Amino acid sequence: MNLYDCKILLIDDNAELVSMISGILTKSGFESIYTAGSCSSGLEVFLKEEPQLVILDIMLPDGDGFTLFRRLREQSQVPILFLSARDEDNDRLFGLGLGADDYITKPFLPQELLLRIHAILKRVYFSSVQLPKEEKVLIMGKREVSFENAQVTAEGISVSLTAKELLLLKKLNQNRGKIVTFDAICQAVWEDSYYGYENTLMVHIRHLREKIEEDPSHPVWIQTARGLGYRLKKEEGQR
Amino acid sequence: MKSLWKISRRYILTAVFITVFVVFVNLAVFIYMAYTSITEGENQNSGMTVRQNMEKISSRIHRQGEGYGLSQEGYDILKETSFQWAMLLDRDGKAVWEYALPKEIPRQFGIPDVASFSRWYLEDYPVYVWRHGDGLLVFGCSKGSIVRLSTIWDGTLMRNAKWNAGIFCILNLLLLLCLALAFGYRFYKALKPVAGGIEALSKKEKVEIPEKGMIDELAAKLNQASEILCLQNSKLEQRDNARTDWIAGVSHDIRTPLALIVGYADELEKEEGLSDAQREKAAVIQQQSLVIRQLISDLNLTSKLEYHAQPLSVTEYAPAELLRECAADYYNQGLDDIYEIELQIGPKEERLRLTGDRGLLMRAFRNLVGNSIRHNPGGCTVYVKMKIAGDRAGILFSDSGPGIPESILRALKHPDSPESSRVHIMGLRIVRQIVEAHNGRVEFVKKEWEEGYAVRIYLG
Repeated sequence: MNLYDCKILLIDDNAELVSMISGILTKSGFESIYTAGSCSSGLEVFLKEEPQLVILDIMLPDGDGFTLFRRLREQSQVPILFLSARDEDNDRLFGLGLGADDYITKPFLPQELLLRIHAILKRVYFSSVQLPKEEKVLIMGKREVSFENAQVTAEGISVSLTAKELLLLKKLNQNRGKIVTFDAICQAVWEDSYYGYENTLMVHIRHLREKIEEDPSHPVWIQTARGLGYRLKKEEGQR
Repeated sequence: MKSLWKISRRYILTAVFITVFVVFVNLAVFIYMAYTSITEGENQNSGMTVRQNMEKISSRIHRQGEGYGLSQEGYDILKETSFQWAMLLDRDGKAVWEYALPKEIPRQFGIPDVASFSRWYLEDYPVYVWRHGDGLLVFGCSKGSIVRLSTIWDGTLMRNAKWNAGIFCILNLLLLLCLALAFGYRFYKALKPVAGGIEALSKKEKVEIPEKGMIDELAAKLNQASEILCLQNSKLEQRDNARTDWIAGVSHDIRTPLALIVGYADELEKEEGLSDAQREKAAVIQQQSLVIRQLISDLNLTSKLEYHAQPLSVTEYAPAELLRECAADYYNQGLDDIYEIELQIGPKEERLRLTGDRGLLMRAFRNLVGNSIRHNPGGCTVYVKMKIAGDRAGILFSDSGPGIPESILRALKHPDSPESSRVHIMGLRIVRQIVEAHNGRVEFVKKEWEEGYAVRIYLG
């Protein structure tokens, strides 16, 4: 099954918005879009069509989205994304606390909605099929890091990574191209705050650079964001 | 309650003072009156005392044959005194000379009679007696003109009179103090509910004092005032809630149409059939719609913070971590290369842990950094410098640009001025509200080389 073969059910009482989102989804390649304007019709379509993803508004004419969410969850574990005009932190936390896969507030950028739908579908339906390499192997120019074996291989020579170095690199790789703050790294590697780990973190970064950089004193891949954190440079052409 | 104790203390002291004062005044008046009455009684025309009169009259009574006689001079003196009658008793108690002696008075007395009238009265006439040779001169005054009191004092008591008087005074003072304290305590107890009521009133709490005892009227008035205040407060609260709800409602209702505008503008921007100029306009529509989204979100937040409708989700946080996250977010969201965010956080500041709402504080930090970026389109370096000041964190947000103009500061200080409607201060207003909700303070610091100001916030 292709990602774009997934059936998407859109439940919102604003016909104009439903039509616009359907248009956005269709244009991006999704073929099976189902829509409903109320809780009752939404549940009906859900049971009939068994969609792979539900986009759910919270304020519906015959009930609220949270209640409908619980009823849908009783039926299946299909991913559900809240799309609501309620931007309160409380609503967001409540929705996510119920077990929703995401919570987007209106108005939203169409691109953002698509990216989030893609991310959810990939994670739920395609993680074991399409994404193994990206998550298990890290490529940096001529070097390749295998997260499974904790090995860095370059030109046939392998060097092992310690457990902490591996955790550190994984954290940077999860946010590749972005600055990961000292605090977030320390939390991921030592499950502690940055204070007291300043030197330890620097030493680990130095060791890691010695293993993955061609010239550790002029690092290319692990870049320092002064006073903030580190960033793992993206591969040329990587999105 | 301190003031109530002060009032009671003053009351007790005043009571003691008043009592002592009244006692002394009374004593003084009594002594004065007694003195003047005695001297008036004694200074009978000739200015002589009773004793002198009696002595003079006695010296003018002489034996005349069988009986006794008073010289003319003696009669003159006698007439000028307040004595109504007089008689001379010989050693056997027989009246041997008399002057205007009333009929009802006997002319013969035994020893018991003499002993009795010399101390008390003779047929209700107050009398004075004077020894005359081996006889006794008796002078009678008009009935009721003099009150005779006979007192007997214990000898030991009178010998230690000085000490006894001292002890007597001290005991009296102690008694007075005890009474004043007892009354003072009663007064304190009675006023306590009133003081408690006033204190509760100042804290905007409802007051219900029992309307009884000496404070019944006062209590009734206080209860009434409290009821009026509570009613006013609840009306104000209702109005504030209505305003917050209204803004929240508008902000909610505007979001769906805005989603449509953003969505369709995005579609138009990508529409290949349109000209570049048309696509550019669509992009502007989208950008401005996102500005509106930010504005309504700010408006909603500022109204909630203003009327305390925004509950704080308080947790422990490290300000250094939050500042790094804020700066990293800006970089990660594609901050232009012409901008740089420089954090200056010392080791002592790294260690600092505070409590607060991370989400709201992050919003405040983002607003401050965002202001520097937005108002320096040519690029700038944003400096964020944290220093511990006492038990608080002082975080200075400045930039290499001109800084915040004075007009913005004025608008912030006087939100009702016409100037404030011309400048956009919502971002800074929210910063101040968030900081104040965390019991912090916002300060504007004049920049060294520029006309403008930098912002320093203190968080505790």
